[in-house]
Amino acid sequence: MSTEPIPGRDQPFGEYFKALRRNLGPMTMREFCSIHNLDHGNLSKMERGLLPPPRTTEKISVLAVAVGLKPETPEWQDFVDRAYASRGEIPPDLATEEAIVNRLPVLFRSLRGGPVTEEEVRLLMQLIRNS
Amino acid sequence: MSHPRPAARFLSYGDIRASANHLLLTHFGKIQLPVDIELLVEYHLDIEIEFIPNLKASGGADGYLEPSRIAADKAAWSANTNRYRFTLAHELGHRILHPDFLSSAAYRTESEYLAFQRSLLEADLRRYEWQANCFAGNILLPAEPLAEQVREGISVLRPAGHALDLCELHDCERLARWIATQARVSLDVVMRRATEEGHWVSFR
Repeated sequence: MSTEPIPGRDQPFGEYFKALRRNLGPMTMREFCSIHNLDHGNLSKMERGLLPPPRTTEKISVLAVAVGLKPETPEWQDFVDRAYASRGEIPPDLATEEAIVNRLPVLFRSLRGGPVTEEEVRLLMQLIRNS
Repeated sequence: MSHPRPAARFLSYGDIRASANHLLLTHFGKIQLPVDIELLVEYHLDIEIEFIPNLKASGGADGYLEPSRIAADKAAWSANTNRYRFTLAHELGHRILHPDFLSSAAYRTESEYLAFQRSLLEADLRRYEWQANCFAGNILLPAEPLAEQVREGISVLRPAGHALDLCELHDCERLARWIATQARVSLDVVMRRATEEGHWVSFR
């Protein structure tokens, strides 16, 4: 069985998911969908980037478990985070943290290359780590 | 929309047979029936299979090939699995044997594909299709497993005291039906392949 390299975080979610699925071993998409009761058409479109990942953590978790990730592990969390990022959304567990949400403009400003103080970055990182 | 018209190059039966065998041995090692064509296409060759609703009903094609994808009629894999399997093998044949065909084609939809097909010279199209059909037959029913099936089928089906007479169409079809079930191909594929491999005479 060949192991495909897992695409980095800057790669589309669909490619990342497909690599994880293919690393399960020789199996067709149809078999995979049948085993996990998933819709072939939707999953195929998601892998090709024609559809975004599911909207809820519950449904994203179903996909994560299907590709063999154990809940609550760093890999599982990374999967969920990538799914939300792919949708252009903040994971709900972070979005409910008022302190983090209040500091998001600092992150946005940083991404746009605007002036951000080291103290602001440190505070934001601390908030995320503690969430 | 105008398309270039690549001339179909000549490929002998032996060339096509060798190409199909090479592909199977590369990816499966030992060839067993039924050949898992879907796994070969999708997993080993990383060619996506996209199911299109009403493809056959609306356009008349069972499937068509795009650079990184095979579009197949959605109803076919459940309603007529053998036909679906043959469609995959046929389109794979185009992919393996006719890279010039693909690179010259700019179609993205089924209607554009049909327009491209119509733009080809009839003789070229016939040759392309024959070659892809030949490849499909060899992928789904390779020579060695076919020979084994013929031997096994004869021993399973031989009526008490009477050997099957492979000069008789009726007996050949009886054996072919048994092989078709094992290999998950149509009766027609078995009849053609067994004739090509010299297991029985041609009845055409």
